[in-house]
Amino acid sequence: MTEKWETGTQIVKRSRVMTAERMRWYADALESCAQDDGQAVIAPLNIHTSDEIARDNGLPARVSDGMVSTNWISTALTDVFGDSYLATGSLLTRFRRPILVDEKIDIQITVRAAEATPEGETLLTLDVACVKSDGEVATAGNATVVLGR
Amino acid sequence: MIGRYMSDLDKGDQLGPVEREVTPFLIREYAHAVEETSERHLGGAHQVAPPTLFHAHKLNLLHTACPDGTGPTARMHVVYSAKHHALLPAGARVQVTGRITDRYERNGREYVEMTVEIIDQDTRQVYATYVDTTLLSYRTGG
Repeated sequence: MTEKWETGTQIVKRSRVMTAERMRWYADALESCAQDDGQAVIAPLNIHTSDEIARDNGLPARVSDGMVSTNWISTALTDVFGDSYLATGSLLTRFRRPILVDEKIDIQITVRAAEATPEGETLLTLDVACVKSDGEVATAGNATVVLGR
Repeated sequence: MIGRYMSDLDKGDQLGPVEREVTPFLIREYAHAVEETSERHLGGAHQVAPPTLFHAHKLNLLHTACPDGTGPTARMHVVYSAKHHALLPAGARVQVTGRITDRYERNGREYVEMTVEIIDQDTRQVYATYVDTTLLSYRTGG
């Protein structure tokens, strides 16, 4: 099965624009999840939803929560691998550069290695990244997925 | 040490446990916000959480341990690292615990690393192990 997964093969490439709304949706969802009373909550302004607060903290303007780009990668992994990723996978992301409003982001997932396990399964190691239009890497890391026989 | 702010946390501090139910609302609200459109997350008899929901559990733990928030300046999340051990179904009652595994300075900025474990309250099944690194202040010297 490992031969299906050649090193360097790009298995996902999709693009999204980081809008102010996407930044706000995530901030509000975290607050709603923290309260978890069945009601949607509007989060207090923060560096992800206010240019002023972001500048007060040394940033050029509001920036995306790194979990937004991480979620885009995670969703792509779910789309491709389903329960194999959800139940036994892993994901590591490092937030290397802030993502600003209206920046176009390419979500990329590439095969780094495929190894046969003693149990007859395939351990896939993947490179993951969110890359800006100018080539700057905003988010980078790796993921693993174990695929059945 | 554990006090009012996240900036009070130090290596060795234990956070939690916090117990909560992973409600269908919690999963749907998170999934919609991150544009996760898989029906596995949006409803039905076998609804399961997106794995990145672990991050919301971590924040819940922080809200409890650090009731006054981050400290003098905004914190910034810099590393997410999660290992999944089992599907996390809607309705599961989970116990979330955290441990500060490192606190260090690099280039004039302070970082806190926290390891979080999410387990089933009843069966003790481990759902995930999550390591999170946070920059306490983006502004140097802040």
